[in-house]
Amino acid sequence: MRNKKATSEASSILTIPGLQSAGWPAFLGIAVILIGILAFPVAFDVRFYFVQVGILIMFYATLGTAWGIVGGYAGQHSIGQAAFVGIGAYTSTLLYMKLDISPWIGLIAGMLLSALIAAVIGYPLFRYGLKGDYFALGTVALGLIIFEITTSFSTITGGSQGIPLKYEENPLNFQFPNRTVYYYIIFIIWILTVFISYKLRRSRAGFEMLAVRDDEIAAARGGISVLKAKLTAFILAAVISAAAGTFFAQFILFLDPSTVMSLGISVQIILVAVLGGMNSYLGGTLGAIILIPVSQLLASTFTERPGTDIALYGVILIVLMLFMPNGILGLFRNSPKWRKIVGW
Amino acid sequence: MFASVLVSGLVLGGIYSLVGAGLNLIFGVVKIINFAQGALLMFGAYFSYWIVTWLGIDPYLTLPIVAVGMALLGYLIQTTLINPVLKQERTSQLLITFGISLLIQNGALALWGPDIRFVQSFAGYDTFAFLGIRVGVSAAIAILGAAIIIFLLFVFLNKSKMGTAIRAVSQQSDSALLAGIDVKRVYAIAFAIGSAMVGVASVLMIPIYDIYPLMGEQFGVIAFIVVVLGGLGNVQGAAIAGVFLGVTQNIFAVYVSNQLSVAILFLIFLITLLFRPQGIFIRKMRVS
Repeated sequence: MRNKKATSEASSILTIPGLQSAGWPAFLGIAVILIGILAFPVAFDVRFYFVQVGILIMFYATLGTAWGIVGGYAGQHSIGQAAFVGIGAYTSTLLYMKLDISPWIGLIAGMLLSALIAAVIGYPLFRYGLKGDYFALGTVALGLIIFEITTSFSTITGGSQGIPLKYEENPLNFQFPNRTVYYYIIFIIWILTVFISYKLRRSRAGFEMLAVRDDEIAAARGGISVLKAKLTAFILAAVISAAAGTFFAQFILFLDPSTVMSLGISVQIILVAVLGGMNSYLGGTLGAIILIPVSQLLASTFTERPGTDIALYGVILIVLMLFMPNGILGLFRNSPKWRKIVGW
Repeated sequence: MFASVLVSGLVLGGIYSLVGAGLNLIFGVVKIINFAQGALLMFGAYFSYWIVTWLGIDPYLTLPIVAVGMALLGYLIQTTLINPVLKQERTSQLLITFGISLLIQNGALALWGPDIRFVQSFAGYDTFAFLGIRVGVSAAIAILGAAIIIFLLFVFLNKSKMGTAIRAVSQQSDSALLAGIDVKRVYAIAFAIGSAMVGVASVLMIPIYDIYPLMGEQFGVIAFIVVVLGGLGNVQGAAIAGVFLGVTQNIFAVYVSNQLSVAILFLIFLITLLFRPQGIFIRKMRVS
């Protein structure tokens, strides 16, 4: 079973997958979709609520795509991804609130700190060969430690009460009079993430990650540094998640541990990636487009009975995993042409 | 002072042991990370609570009903939800158990609301003197009960035919299948026992702890630490680790910082994962 999968994987690796194989209709389609996304908040007279849903979709699409790099490409199922979202959000917010440093600089600082923490934690985890379940458990611990520390040091972080961000209309402070601007900022973050993921899939580093995922021992024998491949994926995903975290804090202007870094957020990120198809650079996006509106709808339908929406969400999760464990894009993996297009 | 901290640490540790040993049995045999363990603990507590409310009996008397009910639930979860995805990616198994956890936890919230509930046992707040320390009767029952159940599990795994089959499956499921063991049934039984242990833990804890939909969260998470510390699949290791963690957490909470007492457990966890991922107990002690 394992071997068969590995050989079919190998044949697809030899031919670089890409959008070219889809021909011009694909490029036209992409152009139309992108223009549609860009025009959505201004061209139609939409309520801000829908713009907000759009922002959430792109936020989770970014996180899902980033998770796809570490979970899908490198095959390292990190369950603590929300920790990095939290690190990004808290770094920029604390710098802004305590030291009056612009969140734009905080964005960079959060990404750097996230990279550092991912490296410091990831290095020993991978170095000592924590695989599979152990790695998953290690990342659960990482996420929970960071969550607990943030909650506990309430004098600095505001603890579980959270911190409201001060509002000063100033683009230099990442705050805009017109809230639609946030839509375009997250659009840029999202499209960059998808682009990075796409380029990575076609690069040498990306192939090394796939090789490590499919057969670690064979990859090592083939001269690939397993440690480097895993660490690169882990750090890259962490950095992107941190950037999304900073954005999110600035967007909702309030920050507490459970909105950005709870275990539930980590699982939501994985769910988005898995539903779309975590091995594809489009998986996170597709997953978010489907899942976020559903969760918003459930939440607004069952307002008088809190818990119902998340319970139903659990049912959806179970049913999905039972019947479509490879995600939607995974359905295309048996067609050679489509396989290249979605980059499975 | 220290003695009473130790006693409440032992109560907490006993609960950790039961939940962790159950989780470890599932982990060792079925090889899945069961994220629903904490939610099952909460469910067991409500189960017992409703029986107490409807029948007006003492919470301790609900033990057999809750244990059997939880075992059935665990059996059902394994046969209907986990068995079909055994051959699939780790993530899908993991996400299924997380889905079960979301369903149970938030289902409880939706059905029964966020109110904190409690039950009154015959022991109430009675205490007795033991070696010069005042010990709560319900605390003593919890500690003793946990010890007895862990001991029974140990005997079951080592002396009974089914226990031998469980150990065989956990060591080499392929060979066990060749030897004529119905592996999927063993999986279901392991899951059932793991859930029943959680049921016992919930009955033992409700006279002491409050009942509310999120009560299981902390226990479910700490059960992972218990498992890693005790060694994957090592049931006694998990039992010892549970006691160790409960006592450590309580001592740390009282003498150093209450807020950081959970974080310290995660730190212990991460250090163990990095330096002794096989667990702190030597392999010789492994039964399964």
